[in-house]
Amino acid sequence: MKTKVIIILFIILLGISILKEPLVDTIDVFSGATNDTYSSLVDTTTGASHSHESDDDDSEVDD
Amino acid sequence: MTIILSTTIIFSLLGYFFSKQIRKYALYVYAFFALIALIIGSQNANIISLGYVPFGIFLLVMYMGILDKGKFKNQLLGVRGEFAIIGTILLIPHAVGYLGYYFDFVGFWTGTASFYIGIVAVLVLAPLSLTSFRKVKSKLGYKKWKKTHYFSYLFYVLIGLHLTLMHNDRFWFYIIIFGFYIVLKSYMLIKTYRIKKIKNKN
Repeated sequence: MKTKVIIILFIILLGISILKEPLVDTIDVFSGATNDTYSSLVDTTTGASHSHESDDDDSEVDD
Repeated sequence: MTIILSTTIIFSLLGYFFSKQIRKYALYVYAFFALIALIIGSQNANIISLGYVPFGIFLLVMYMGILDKGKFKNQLLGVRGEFAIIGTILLIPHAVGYLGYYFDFVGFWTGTASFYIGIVAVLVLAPLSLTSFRKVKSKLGYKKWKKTHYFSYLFYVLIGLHLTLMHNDRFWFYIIIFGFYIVLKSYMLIKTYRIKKIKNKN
């Protein structure tokens, strides 16, 4: 009974996470690119690029 | 969470179908994963250095203990030690990477609670993994080994705190996973206690 419940729980959680986490982000992180879904604590600590923004945005002057 | 749960599912299938082979060629398996840890772990942030794959393996190691008795559990328990060692090997790039980062850029004493709990978790894990090697286990003796491995529960608690205190998007996933484990483990312990009590009465 417990095994079945655990398997069902894991499948449901996997289903939700697939729906919640874009597949592109999952593929990205395999190649070593952090993104909104798979960001490391390092990103938040350093204040590196925010969502959809480049690190260089601050230093660039708009034409 | 997709990567973590996929890792858990992949390793549970590997454990179920290749239990014998993993045990037989354990040293080669360790060498293979050590090579992966060395190559992939030394690169930029990835599924290993971010800790997703090792956590996926530890999740399986953790949940193995509360499965129902049967072939599935037996096959998996047969490689529990091996999987714990593989998880530790893959955890090294995660631990070393973050430790180095904190030393170099953040400062060791200005880290988050999650960071320090992570360090303690690694320190608790070290003797557990070391004693998971079959040769060490046989030298240690079952009683001492069993006593040492009670600390694995402390490791699970620390990992749970390490992850939940990050307060990231996966917070509720971690709460469900660890909460569910606590509920099932408690149910199991109560059941075992009741059975023992009835046996003692008889």
